[in-house]
Amino acid sequence: MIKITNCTKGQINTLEGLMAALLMIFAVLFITKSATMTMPQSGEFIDTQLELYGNDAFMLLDQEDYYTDSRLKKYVASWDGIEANQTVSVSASLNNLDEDLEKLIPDNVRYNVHFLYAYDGSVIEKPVIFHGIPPDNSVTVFQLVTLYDEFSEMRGDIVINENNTIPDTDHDNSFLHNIVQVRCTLWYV
Amino acid sequence: MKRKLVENKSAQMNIDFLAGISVFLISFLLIVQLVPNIFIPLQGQPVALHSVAYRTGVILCEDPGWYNGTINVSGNYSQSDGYNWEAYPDNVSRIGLADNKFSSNFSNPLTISVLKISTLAGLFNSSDPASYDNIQKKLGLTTSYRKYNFNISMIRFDNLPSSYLNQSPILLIGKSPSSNIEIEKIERIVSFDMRGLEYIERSIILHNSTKNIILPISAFRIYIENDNNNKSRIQLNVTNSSGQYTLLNETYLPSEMPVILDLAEKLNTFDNPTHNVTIDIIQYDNITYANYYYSYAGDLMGDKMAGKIVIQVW
Repeated sequence: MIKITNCTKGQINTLEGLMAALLMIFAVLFITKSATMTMPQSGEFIDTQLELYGNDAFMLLDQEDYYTDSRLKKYVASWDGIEANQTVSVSASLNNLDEDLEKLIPDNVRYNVHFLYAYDGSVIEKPVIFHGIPPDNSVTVFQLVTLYDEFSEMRGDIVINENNTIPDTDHDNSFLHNIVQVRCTLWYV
Repeated sequence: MKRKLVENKSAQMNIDFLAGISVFLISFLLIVQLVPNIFIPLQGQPVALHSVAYRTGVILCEDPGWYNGTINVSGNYSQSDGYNWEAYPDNVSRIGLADNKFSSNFSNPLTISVLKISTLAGLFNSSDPASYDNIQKKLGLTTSYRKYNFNISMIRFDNLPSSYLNQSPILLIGKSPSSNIEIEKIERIVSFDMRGLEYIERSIILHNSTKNIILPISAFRIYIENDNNNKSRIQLNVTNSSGQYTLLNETYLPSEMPVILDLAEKLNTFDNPTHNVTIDIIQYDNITYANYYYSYAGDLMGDKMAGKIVIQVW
């Protein structure tokens, strides 16, 4: 007992330890409370909405019912074969498609449109609407459009533009002309 | 014996050790208490909310809904189950706005029924909390562990609410979210029928007639037919509080008939703080039949009206 009272060694160490522990605990507490944590998946939520914009817009344009013909099919058939690039953002024959998409898709979203089709065993990709180079977090959606050789096979008496470069893919006498994948890349600006 | 114990200090507990273990225990307890709190910001709240918003959007815009049949006193079904819950709003089991699958041979996802929209809007009464709870339940927003608040509205592509001709909103239900909470929002692009509905005014155009309309407008279309072989000519003037302007002055060949003109965007350029304009038909030559129709409900996309359903949950 006497020894403990007399011995001054280690006493302040205990208090130091206590204070250091509390200091560390509160430092950790402070950091975790103040730092705003960003969810790693939060980017993917934004992508869902982008995907919905693209898919919903295509769905609306490709609607076919008793009263309505597919606008998208009409646009694809009336394409005059001119590709879009940095200087020509939209082929003149597809101005209406661009106007429709411009209206349907919000102002803070930009988009590019490509036509893809198969010919002689390879897939040909043609840019038709170009509004910029998409960033890495862009989203791509597509809609398939079937073209037939004779307009009577397509609702709304759609005629394929004479300058349309989408070739007749089959070598037999079927009415099928080609299947076009209309691909839209969307991103936020 | 006693003496020996006092003198022998080898098994006594050191006060340093006592203090050390207390510090350790206190900090250990504190950490145990803190650890769950540390991970709260990492928990998947936004994940859950986002999927709820997405799910509600899919249910509303891609599904026609369902109602339960009623059983009469004798225990027989007096009315079987079906999609057209709008006819039996008291028995609705799931709310959906997509057009009924059996109403025509063609069914399109994201084509919504105007009747279902007005029925849904009618189910909600802002002064009756029970109506809110009912819709919340029928949309699957009441789960065993929590209730999700919602706000559902229909808007046009200029982000103004879709409205009837008297400017009252077509669909605006739910609570208004307070600004300091986390909200998930989903927008779906939908289309709806435009034939014979109360949110569209359709009228035959007559020479020298006049029409007053309120801007901004989302759809204003003119349809012109001509059976004879002469060129048709039409001129429309628009008058707002600052003056009179030409809205349209065109000549059309018989080969161009029928002519369909969408003038909403052009009309909106004449909008001013009074929001009121007058359209005068000045020239009307060689036209067999012409009509106009306009609406504040949505934008014209071909022969369909299109708008957006906005779902917010929190």
